[in-house]
Order: sequence, then C-alpha cells, then structure tokens
Amino acid sequence: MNKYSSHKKRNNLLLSGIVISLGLFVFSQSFAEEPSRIEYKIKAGYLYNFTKFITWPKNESETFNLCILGEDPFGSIINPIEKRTVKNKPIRLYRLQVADEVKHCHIVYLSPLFPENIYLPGVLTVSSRIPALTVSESKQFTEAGGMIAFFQRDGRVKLHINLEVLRRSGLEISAKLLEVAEIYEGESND
Amino acid sequence: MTRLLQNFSIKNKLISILLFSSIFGLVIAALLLLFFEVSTFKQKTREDLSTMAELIANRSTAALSFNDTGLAKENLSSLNQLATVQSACIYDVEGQVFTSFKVQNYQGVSCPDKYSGQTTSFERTFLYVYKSIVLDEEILGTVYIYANLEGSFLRKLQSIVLLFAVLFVATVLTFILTTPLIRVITTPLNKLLKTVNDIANEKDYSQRALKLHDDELGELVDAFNEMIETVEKQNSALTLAKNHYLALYDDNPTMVFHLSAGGSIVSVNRFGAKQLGLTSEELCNRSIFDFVHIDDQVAAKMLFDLCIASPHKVHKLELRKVCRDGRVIWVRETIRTINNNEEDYNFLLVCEDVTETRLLSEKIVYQASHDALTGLANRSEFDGVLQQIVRESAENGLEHALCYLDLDQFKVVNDTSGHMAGDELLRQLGDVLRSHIRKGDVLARLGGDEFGVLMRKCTLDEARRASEKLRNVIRDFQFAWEDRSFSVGVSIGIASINSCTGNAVEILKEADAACYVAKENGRNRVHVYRPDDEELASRQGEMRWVEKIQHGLDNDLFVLYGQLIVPISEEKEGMHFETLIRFLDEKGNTIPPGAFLPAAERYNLATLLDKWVIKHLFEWLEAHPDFLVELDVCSVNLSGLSLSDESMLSFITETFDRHSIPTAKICFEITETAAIGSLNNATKFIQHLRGMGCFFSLDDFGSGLSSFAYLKNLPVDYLKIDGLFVKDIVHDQVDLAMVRSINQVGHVMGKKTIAEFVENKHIFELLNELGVDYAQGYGIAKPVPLDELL
Repeated sequence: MNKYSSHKKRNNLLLSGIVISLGLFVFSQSFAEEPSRIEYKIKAGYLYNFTKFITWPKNESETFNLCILGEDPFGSIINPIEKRTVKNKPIRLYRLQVADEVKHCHIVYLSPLFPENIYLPGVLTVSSRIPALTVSESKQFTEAGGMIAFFQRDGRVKLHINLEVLRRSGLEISAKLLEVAEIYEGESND
Repeated sequence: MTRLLQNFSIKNKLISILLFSSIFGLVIAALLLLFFEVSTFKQKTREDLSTMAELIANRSTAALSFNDTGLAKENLSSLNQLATVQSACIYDVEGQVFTSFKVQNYQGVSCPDKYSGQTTSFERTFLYVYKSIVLDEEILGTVYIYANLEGSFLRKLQSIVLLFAVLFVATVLTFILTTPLIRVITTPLNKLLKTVNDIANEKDYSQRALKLHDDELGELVDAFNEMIETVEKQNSALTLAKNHYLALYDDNPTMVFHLSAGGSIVSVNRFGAKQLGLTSEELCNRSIFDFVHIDDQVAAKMLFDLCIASPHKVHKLELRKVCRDGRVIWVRETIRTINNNEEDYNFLLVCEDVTETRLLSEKIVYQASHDALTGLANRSEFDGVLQQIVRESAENGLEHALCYLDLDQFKVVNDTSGHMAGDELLRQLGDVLRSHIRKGDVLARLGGDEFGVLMRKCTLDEARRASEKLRNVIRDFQFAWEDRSFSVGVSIGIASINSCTGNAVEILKEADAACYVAKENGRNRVHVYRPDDEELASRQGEMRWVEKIQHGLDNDLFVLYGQLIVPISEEKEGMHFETLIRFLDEKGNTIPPGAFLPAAERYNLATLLDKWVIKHLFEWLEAHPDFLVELDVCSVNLSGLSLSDESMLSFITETFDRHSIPTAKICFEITETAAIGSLNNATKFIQHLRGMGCFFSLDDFGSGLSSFAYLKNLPVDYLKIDGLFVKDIVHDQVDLAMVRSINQVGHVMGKKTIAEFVENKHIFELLNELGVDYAQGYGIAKPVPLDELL
C-alpha cells in the first residue's frame, strides 16, 4: 500500500512537472516561438496522447519506445516526453535512421523531411510484422498504408487515420480517437 | 397548552385534541414532505446532471486530447435535451474555456471565463455542476453545467401543495367524520353528570344513572349507582337516626340549652323554647339571664362562675325562670361545661320544670305552718317562732309579749248555727285580728277558738294596750250568719318574754293561765300574768289538768261539795242544794272546778266528770237514807257535752236503779249555752229524764245570748239567774231590771227562779221584793263537803 501510494505520488509529481513544463512551453511559444515550433509541440503532445487511445498487445519490452525515423523535426521539444510513462513503462525516445531498426518501436514517426520513397516501404513492411503505430505527416502517408497522419485544417492539426491498416496491425483503437479523426476507408482491394 | 385545556368540557377537550393532532400531523407531514421532496429533487437533479457531465466528460477526452472543439461542442449540445440546463462549458487543463454552449433563450453569459477549482453547488434554485475530465488519471479539463431549476422547483412545489391539499382535505374529512363519534364518550358522561347534578340539587338519592355502554363509562355508571345506593341506604339510616335523636332532643320534656361562655343561647331544644314561649330561632343569641327571675340573677351568675371554676363537675341549682308572658316557673338547672378548649367554655344547661313539685312542697310547707281555715300561722309554727324569740331574748335581753286569746261564747255560734258558721266566724275574726296587729308581730290560731299573738319588742304595758284594742275590736265585730247576728268577746292573757322568763312552753302556760284568769274574772277582759299572782299560780295551765283529771278520776281525788239553795219566801221546804265538785291536790288543797272544768270541757273529760259526780252523789245519798228522806231536791251540773253523749242517759237510768234513788229528788242543771248549742239533743235529753220524774234547771241564765225565745222550747223547771246580774242589783238599775224581767218571764212560763251570787242580806231582801223564788250564794251558805250538810 505504502509502496503503491508513494509510487502514485511520484507519478503525480511527474505529471505536475510535465504540466508546468508544458505550460512554460506554451507560454514561451505564444511570444517568441515560430509557428513550426508550436506545431511540433502540439504534434509531440499528440504522439503522447495516442498512447491513451490505442492499446498495444503485450510484450516483454520494459520501455515504451517512441521512435523518430529520419531527420528529427522536433528537436529538443519532444525530449520531455521521456519523463512520461505508458502503462507504467517509461517512454524512450529513439532517433532512428534505418527502417530496420524499428522492430522494437511501439510508435514509429516518420519524419516528413525525408522523401517518402526512401523509408516508407521499409517501415510499412516492418510495421506490418510488428505491432507498431506508424505516424507521419500528410494524407499520402495514410493512403499509402500508414496508420495516422497529421494534417492541417483551419490552422489546426488534425488527424487522418487509416482504420483498416490499424485493425490489421493488431492495435486496438478507441472509438473516441476515431471521433476526432478523419477516417481513410481505403480502396477495397481485398 | 395542557393548562389551557384543563377547564374545557370533555367534548371540547376531545375536539381540541383531535384538532391539535390533525393540525400537528398536517404541519409535520407538510414540512417533511417539503423537506424530503425538495432534497430528493435536488439530489436527483444533481445526480442526473453530474451523470450527464460525467458522460460529456468521458466523451470529450479525445476532443480535448486532440483539440477538437467541434466534437466537444457537439457533446455539449446534447444537453439541449434537458430543459433545466441553461448553459454548459468545457475548460481545458489550464482552466481556459475550451468550448461553450447555451440554450437559445438564455440571455446571460454561458460560463465563467476561467475555471479555478469550483465544485458542484446549489445557489438558490441554480445548480452549478463541475466535472473533471480525466483520462488515465490525468486531468484533461472540466465540464461545467449551469441549470436553472426554478421551473422545476415551482412544479415540485405545486405538486407538494397539491399533495398537501389532498392531505388537508382528508384530515378535515376525518375530523368532520370523527367529531360525532365524540358523542360516544360525551353522551354517557353528560347523562351521568346530569344524574349527579339532579341528585346533588334534589337530594333525591333514589335516582340512578342510566348505563348506555359496556365500556369503562358503563363500569363507572355501575360503580356510581352502587355508591349512590350505599349513600341512599346510609342517608336514610342517618335521617332516621337524626330524626330519632332530634325527637329525643326536641321533644325531651326538659329544656336543653347550649350556651356560650357569656351565657348567650347557641341552641335550644323545641320543648325548652316552647316552655319560655318563644321559638328556638328567636331564642338564639339571647342571653339566658334575660329569662332568669330578678331575685335569682345573682345565684345564676354564681352558678356560671362555679361551673368555670370546676369545669368537669356537674352543678345543680333550683331557680325561677320568667317566660315571655311573664309566667314564672321553677326549674332545676343542671349545668356543665362542654370542653371546646381551655379558654373558651361552652355550657350545656338542662332545666327541668319543677314548678308543680315546688308549689306542692311550698303548699306542704305552708300547710304545715299555717292554719287551713284562717290562713294564719298554726300552733307548731307559732311554737317555733316563740322558741326563737325566747332564745333571742335570752341573748339580747329584749322584751316581748305573748298574748293568748280565747273567744267567749264562740261555742254558742258553733252550736246554734253549725260548724260552717263557726268556721266562717273564725275566718273573719282572723282577718280582723290580722289587720289590727303590727307588722312583724305573729298571729296564730292555736286551737279551736284560741289565738296567739307574739308582739315583738313590746313591754307589758304596750301589750296590754294593744290587747285592749284587740278586745274592743272583737267586741265591736258583728258576725252575720243567715238571718242572725252574733257578737263575741275575747279573754286575753298576756305573758312577758324577757331575759328572766322561762322557756317557750312555760311562757305559753303563763299566757294560758292569764287568759284563764281573764275568763274567770268575767270574760271579755285582759289579764296580765305575774309570777306572784297566787290565784293564777294555783291554776296555772289548763293542760296540766288533763292528766290530773284522769288521775283524779282513777283515784277518786275529787270530793263532792254542796251549797244550799234556800227559798226566799219564808215557806219551809225540805233540803235543797247544788252538788259541786272540788279537786284535792297532793298537798291537800281543795281546788275549785273553775281550775279544771275548762280543761275537762276542752279535752272531753267533762262527761266522765259528770258521771263521776252522779255515781258518787247517788252512792252518798244511798249511804245516807235519812238525809235522803229529808232531801227535797238535789241539783247536779251536766256539761253540754253530756247532753249529746249517747251513753249518758242509760248511765243515769242505771245509776238511779242501782242506788234506788227517787228520780224526783234529782234536778239536773244545764247551762243556757249548752242547752241552746244542741237544742234538739238537749230537748230530747230533758224530756226523757223529766219523763222519769227528774227536774231540770237552766244555769247561768241571762249571761249568754238573748235566749228568751229558746226558753219556750226548753222544758225546764228552774231558771237560775246569772250571778253577774244578781251581785250588783242593789247598785245597778240595769242589773235589777234584768233580774226582774228574767224573774217575770220565768214565772210567766211557769218556772221557778233561783238567784245566784246572793252575797248579802241586801240582795236577799231585794230578791224577795222582786219575787224570786230561791237564793243561792255566799251570803246564804258557802259550799261545804256533803257530809257537813248532814
């Protein structure tokens, strides 16, 4: 019990730290930060938020691995995410350059700074074999077989989800997530 | 509240209780209803909206996570369905409005700009619901719902009011329907109460309460009836006892008073009030002393004091009470205190009417001390007073006088007109005497025609004067009886009472003797007793003679004397004498008959004396036959009593026979008064003896009454003219005329006359001139013993 409560306390402290840092983050953003920085801050938040609406199958990994494949658009903005946990597993950031390295990742973010054709097939291939959530920019990604894509609408960052891919991957997605996202039904080539 | 109800009637109490419980129940119900309904409503609304907020929060996690205000707004707009919700908002984690919503007609601000930790709350009819949006233990934001419950409350209130109204109507209906049921209790109670009041007012314990039901009230009625029955029984028993005791009290033939300490009447029984002539009520509060005779006031008050001094004793007193009508009654009072407390005494006084007893005893006392005929003191009373006066005199040396009065010729009245006349004469004389004695002197009737007067503080001279006065008064008194008129005289003897005199008996004897002397001296005179009075001394006391006479008769102490009677004309006749009697006392003195004859007359010894004389005379004559031959006639005195004595005639006849005495030699002398006193007897007596040959002479003629009329009817042979006339005829013309006329009348009637008291030659010669036949007296011959006549 004590152990649990102290543990919980630690978690709360952790949470409040995040909130404060996020607050500071938002504050600094509103004055000095450039729009792309704000955008990535939001996207970093979204990446974390996905862990709450999506359930990964159980595995032995002791950490929740967030992998950024390709050139990192977030920079240090995303680093605070490592202070968080997913189902008591600490989040680890991995900045990867090779698609093959994604096999331990739970979430794979494909950097938009790289051309799609370089990594995409590899990623898709890997991710089709492991339960990893693939996230990237632009609807082409989801249409190409990616799972979730960020896109801009009315100045806001919106989600585009390929539900079919998601279902096939073995990940369970909350209906609530679907409510806020644009669903790509895909061509029924099956 | 309970105090207020105390004086209500039971009906009102029951109604009040019913009313109170109804109102109380109603109010409690209303309050509870209001409270529970409102709180339940609030709770429910709160829960409903909280649930709603929860739902919205749950649904808005993704919208918040991914900044989808549209979805959030959509979620909020579902609240549009709820009429109470006015507006709603979702705040993000920083408390900024994420999205907001408000109903169309809501005019106010949809929600506060900033969320800063408020919690769900009611503010009057407004409900503010706040719900955190949590995802995986992480707060994402807050749902805020604002609801206006005014309308709902109003509807709730309306339904409550409706419910209350229904409740109220039900209660009122219950009350209205229940109220008549109170009668079930009040009716029997009121009936019982009415019966109780009737009994209390009419005191009629025969009434019974009616039992209506078999409940506790029924039991009460039964118990009441039972009680009243007991009361009725006890009451009648009590009334009976009361009447019994009241009758005992009221009709008790004694006067029963309850008196206060001061003697005022607290209560009195009916008999007592009636005795006094008032009612019990009128007597109340009056003083008992108002009814006590004035002479008994002191004694009555002393009795009260005595009673207070010894409170536990019963005291008695006889006193007089004065009734309202002035009637005086004698009562025997019995009084004792009633113990109220130590200081304040009350008295119980019982008075028994002893008037009759008292009057009777007074009468007896009066009769014992008074003469029934004249109302004067009687002999014993007189003796008592005399003894007392003698005692006093011996002590204080005061002089008093005792007068002894003996009426002269009273016998004549008695004998000629009967005892009624005699009694009337005595009565009248008693009154006359009474009116002529001094106050304080005692007048008594001592015997038949004898009176006594005790003159207090009186010398002999004064007594003599007073006696002379009495004598004159009696002398002047004319007694009228039928068609006749009598006058009587009185002989009075006076004896002095002083320190030197003897006892009462001796004084009485002295006065008696003096009276006798007065009589001897010619009647109608006063004689004063003197110790040195020889004549008196020898004769003192008539009473003494009674015994002497008896003794003398038994022992022949009497001697016969004879006094010659001689014819005045010188014709020679045989021996003629009057037989006289003398008493020989123990000293050998010869006592003349005047000393003992009155006693003999008074004590009925005269007839015995007469018989003694006749017997001894006849014996003597028989013993002297020669003398008898020589004897012409010998007279013998007969008393008046002997004329009426039935044995006398036969005694005389027998004696004549026994001694062979010729009847013609004997002449019987009777007094005028004796003959007239019993005229019939005397006439018969005379006729009988004259028939045998005896002679009769009428003695003392002229000194008595006017008796010429009787003379005609008296068949006597001789008239003896009273010596009182004879002895003075030489000097007194009246006496001479009297003697002459008697002589003449006697001769006319064919009787021979004899003059007494012929004391000298002059009288003798004068008598000769008058033609009187015989003379007798000291001038002719003194009485001598019979033997000396030989």
